[in-house]
Amino acid sequence: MQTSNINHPTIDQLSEFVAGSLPMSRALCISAHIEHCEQCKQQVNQLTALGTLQLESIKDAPSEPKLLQQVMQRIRSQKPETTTTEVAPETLRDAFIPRCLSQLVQGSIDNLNWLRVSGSVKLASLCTDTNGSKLALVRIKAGGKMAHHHHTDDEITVVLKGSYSDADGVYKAGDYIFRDTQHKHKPVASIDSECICLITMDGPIEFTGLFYRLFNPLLRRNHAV
Amino acid sequence: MMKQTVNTNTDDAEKARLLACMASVSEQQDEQAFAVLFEHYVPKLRAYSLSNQPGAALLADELAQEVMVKIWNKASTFNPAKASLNTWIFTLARNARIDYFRKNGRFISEVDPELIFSQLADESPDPFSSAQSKALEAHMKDAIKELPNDQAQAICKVFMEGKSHQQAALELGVQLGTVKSRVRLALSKLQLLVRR
Repeated sequence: MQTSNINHPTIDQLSEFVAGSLPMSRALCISAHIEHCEQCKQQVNQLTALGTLQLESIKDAPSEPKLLQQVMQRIRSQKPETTTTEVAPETLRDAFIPRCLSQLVQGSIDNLNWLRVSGSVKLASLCTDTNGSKLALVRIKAGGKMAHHHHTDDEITVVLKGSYSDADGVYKAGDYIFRDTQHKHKPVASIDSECICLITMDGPIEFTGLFYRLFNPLLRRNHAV
Repeated sequence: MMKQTVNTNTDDAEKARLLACMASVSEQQDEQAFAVLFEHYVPKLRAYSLSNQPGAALLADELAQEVMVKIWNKASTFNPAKASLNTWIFTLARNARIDYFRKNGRFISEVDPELIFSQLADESPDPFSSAQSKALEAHMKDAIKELPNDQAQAICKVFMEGKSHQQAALELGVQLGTVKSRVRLALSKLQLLVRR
């Protein structure tokens, strides 16, 4: 209990990750976190061992004998190139972009379609999950402030590069931050470097400050895309 | 005490036999060895699929086929020094299930599930390879039989059936918090919690 759970996924989330029942946008956030976090990786391996043990001892559901024939036919009729393992393109991807995003972020992140949210904050949408969650990259200039906002639904942030802080603490590369609708915050990127985060939002964020409220219709519309 | 030793030995012998078959498939595309793997794993893979979708026998066949073809095609990438054969097959089955849901619109299609778990497969050694871990595995095997029914049921729903804690709560007719604490208690008894 020495290590705090604050900037890690919970055991429930890691269990669902291992079992494969998590929405993809959340699974991607956990995968990105695990690239940085040895402890959660170890936990995931332990949970995988449990899944393995359960599969070993599951009550058999035997197949019809013809299934083996069908599989052998499929194997014999497949083209030779399908037997080689497909390697994910590693070329030109920025070093801080986790491997799980290599299909969504190809080449430099500069080439993404960035939406300017404010003077120092930009957002690039990566995809929309089937549950409506939006997966996006957020880029905050060094020392940049994001206006006060709250979340209309759950939000997960994984810091990929640099760091940022809010009233609750400082978050550095690899940290996994879960925020629900109760939470209103005002993130500030650290002075020395720009901060790049992966976020998944179940609903659009809403700015609470007077001026930035003007952006809310834009963010809602963008969330729907 | 004696009985347990015998069980462990037959267990180990079975594992060695399957590993040898895997090596023959990898090195010589040995169809007979593959048939042995098929006979051992297909009933488990079908049961795994049926646990999530009871009654969907065709889907179970499809998923089992998918995994067996993967075993054949990827045999050369399996490294027994890095993962146990059963763990490797569990991850193939889990990924095949995700892939099935992906093709059927329940998950986004832009991301190959293998990529999400790839950094784990890469460097994680077989969690049960060292002597110390062998003791842990033995403990887990015994402890899992001792779990109270409600805890065993909860971890089965989450890990085998692939239900979210929320879905599990609905199906068991209990609060979400109850499922979470049952799973957590079970994990703690199995000594699987890295941090408490």
